[in-house]
Amino acid sequence: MNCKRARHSNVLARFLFAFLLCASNACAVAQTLAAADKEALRQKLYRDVKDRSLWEDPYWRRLLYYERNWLGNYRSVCINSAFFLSPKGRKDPAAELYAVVDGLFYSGELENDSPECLFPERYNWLRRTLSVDERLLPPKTCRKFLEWKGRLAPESVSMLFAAGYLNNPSTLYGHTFLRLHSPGSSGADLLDYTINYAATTDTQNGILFALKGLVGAYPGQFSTIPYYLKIQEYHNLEDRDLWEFPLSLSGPEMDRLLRHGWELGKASFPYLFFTRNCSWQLLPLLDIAKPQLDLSSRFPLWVIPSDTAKAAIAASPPARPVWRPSLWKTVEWKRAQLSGPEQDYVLALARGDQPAAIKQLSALPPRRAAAVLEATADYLSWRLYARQIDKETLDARSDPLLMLRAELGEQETFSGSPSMPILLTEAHDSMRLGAGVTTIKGAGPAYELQWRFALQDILDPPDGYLPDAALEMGSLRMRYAPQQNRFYFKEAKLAHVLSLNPWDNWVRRKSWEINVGLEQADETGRQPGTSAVWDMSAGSGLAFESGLLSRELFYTLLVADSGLSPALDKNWRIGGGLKAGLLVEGGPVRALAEARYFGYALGDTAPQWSGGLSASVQLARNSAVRAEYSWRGPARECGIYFQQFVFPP
Amino acid sequence: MKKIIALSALVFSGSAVFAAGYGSAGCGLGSLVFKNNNMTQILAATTNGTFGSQTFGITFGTSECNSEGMIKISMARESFIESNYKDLARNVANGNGEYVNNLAKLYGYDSANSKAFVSLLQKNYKTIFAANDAKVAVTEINKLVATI
Repeated sequence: MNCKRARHSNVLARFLFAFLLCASNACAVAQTLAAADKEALRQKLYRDVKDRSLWEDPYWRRLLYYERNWLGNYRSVCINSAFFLSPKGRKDPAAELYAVVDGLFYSGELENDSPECLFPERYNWLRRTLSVDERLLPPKTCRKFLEWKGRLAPESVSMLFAAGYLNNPSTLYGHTFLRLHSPGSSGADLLDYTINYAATTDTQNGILFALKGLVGAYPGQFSTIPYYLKIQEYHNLEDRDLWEFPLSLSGPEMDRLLRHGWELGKASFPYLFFTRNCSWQLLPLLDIAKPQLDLSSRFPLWVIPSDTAKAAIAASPPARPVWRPSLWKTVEWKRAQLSGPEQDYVLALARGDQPAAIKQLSALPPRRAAAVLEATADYLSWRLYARQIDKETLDARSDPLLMLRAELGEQETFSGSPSMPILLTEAHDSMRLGAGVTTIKGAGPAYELQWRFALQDILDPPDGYLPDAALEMGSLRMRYAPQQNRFYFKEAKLAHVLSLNPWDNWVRRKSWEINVGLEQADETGRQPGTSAVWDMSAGSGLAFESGLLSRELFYTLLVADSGLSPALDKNWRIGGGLKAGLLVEGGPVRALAEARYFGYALGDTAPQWSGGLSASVQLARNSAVRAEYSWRGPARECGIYFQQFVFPP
Repeated sequence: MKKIIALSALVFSGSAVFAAGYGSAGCGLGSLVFKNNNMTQILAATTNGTFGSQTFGITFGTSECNSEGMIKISMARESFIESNYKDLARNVANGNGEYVNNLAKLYGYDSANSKAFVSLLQKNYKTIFAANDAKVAVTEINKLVATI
């Protein structure tokens, strides 16, 4: 069989010499002779590679993820040896390239296992770059790859962004993945495949998970996951909005994406939460598909998924994004179309005396009854995902309702769709810089510089972010007080997360806050800037919304607080207390009044009374002015700051 | 970014777990989403980290997946019904929605004639979904389609 095929391809390749000799038992001879020719050809290709130092080609480096280390040597970031043809491939771009040349001469029986079928884009590039004569070295028929590619066969590709989700701390910043739209998929979106990059993890210990993620101990891998599973995950289970941004890739660009995607099946990379994360690793893939994007070099320090999405959107031709509202937004939208009594029916059917409510429901016209039943079924489904009920309760509550709904047949219930929120691209940028001046009672002025890595506090313009929430990482406020000639940190926050959830009888979600970082414990009565305390606190409480003037949000939280500082008596304290506040927003202005009282049971037992008034006025998408008055213990200060949001350098 | 796997019960042995127990819809994933009423398991099943074994080009042996990590064409309907069972049930009861429209497409109906398919399912909602079992739903839908 093998012999026949060899002979056949030789004929095609017009090896006339071999053809003439290949009569009776001459096959072996033909192969030997061909082998000699092939060896000559191989040496010629080797020389081409060497003369052109082809292993220095930027595209080659990109395809194999070679990065220059601090010694100046190139080394691949990929940690899976299956990704390389040469045993030295990871550390030696030239050795790998010669091995790829050798792979052209693969003579194994199964074409599917040939290097060319394992690494189609590598060979596509090599054949073009070296102008390999296809008559001499015909391309392999990669049945498996072609089948796979045929199944995906996208007509377009888009980047999907799953918006941040505050109730899971390590996925606060969102997630990005690619969706491959199959031809004519409108109306059958769910059947598409996605390309997703994720870490393969091994621990249930949250802290260990975080540490390993920080040092890159987890391997990250690519996978093709059906879109409907990604929807289950993000849209249903986590109740996030999904944004879809068309990347407008051309046919050849999508071909490259798939050829390289196939290669990535053998690759794994160290997964680093801040830098080489789910979101970043898509960028080199996009760069290979469309080299002029050049996205991967843009994020040297850290990567926030929304920033990669923004970069990809900015580098692509303008196109209309698609928005898929979270499950709760859909429920809320349906609720808004129900009358007050109809909303009561929903609550009774979902949480109250269902049989009684079903009886009353028959009094409604079928169209309204159908609307109530549909809204209730959606609401119950949301309650399952929000972990308010278990699967048994869901089945017991929703199965009878769905049967009733089905019996009502075709009914006009809800029309239109929820209105699209403000786009990610119109949100302020992720990093914030600030400068200002403050006067401190009894201590004169202080000049302040601010730097915040990410992302949003309760007074920053909320467009494009989660409303009524703060998510701050790495926030520094550095001060210089000329009268005392003192530099100090007013604040150095590691993390601050605040989630205010206005009480809603359907949602019934508490508000909560976590804060970790350095601050000034002025209640100790020391000079400004000399009472730094490492503070950790967590609180939980309730929030209520009103529309008396414009929009007001009242909240109160019970807080557990702890502090470590040489400025404290015994150097530490543990206690708790209450904080209450009022957030008012109208137009570009957002204002906050907050008061806190914490008592301490252990360590330094002196209490802390503090509070403040602050207001922020948005000047443009990326700039704002903030005024602040605050007191803490005997200290009083009043300052004004200019704040500018910037895209991370 | 990445999600906490703290809740995950699955991830200890990664692909081995998938290959062993959960192989059905969505190349070994989807069935978990609704079959299991334990929320931590649901989370585990759909958490980014546990998908690692579904890498393309790597053999991943469950009955509904081929070795390239894609759902076998012959199992596409079953996978879809099983993974989206509850959403599909709601759509069928309502007589519209993207899950039932997608299913219509899987059964070969285009947007012009999918309406008949959807209303046939709606009329037979009880037969299909009363058992609360994805396999029954698959069988019943196949039977109904054969009658058209």
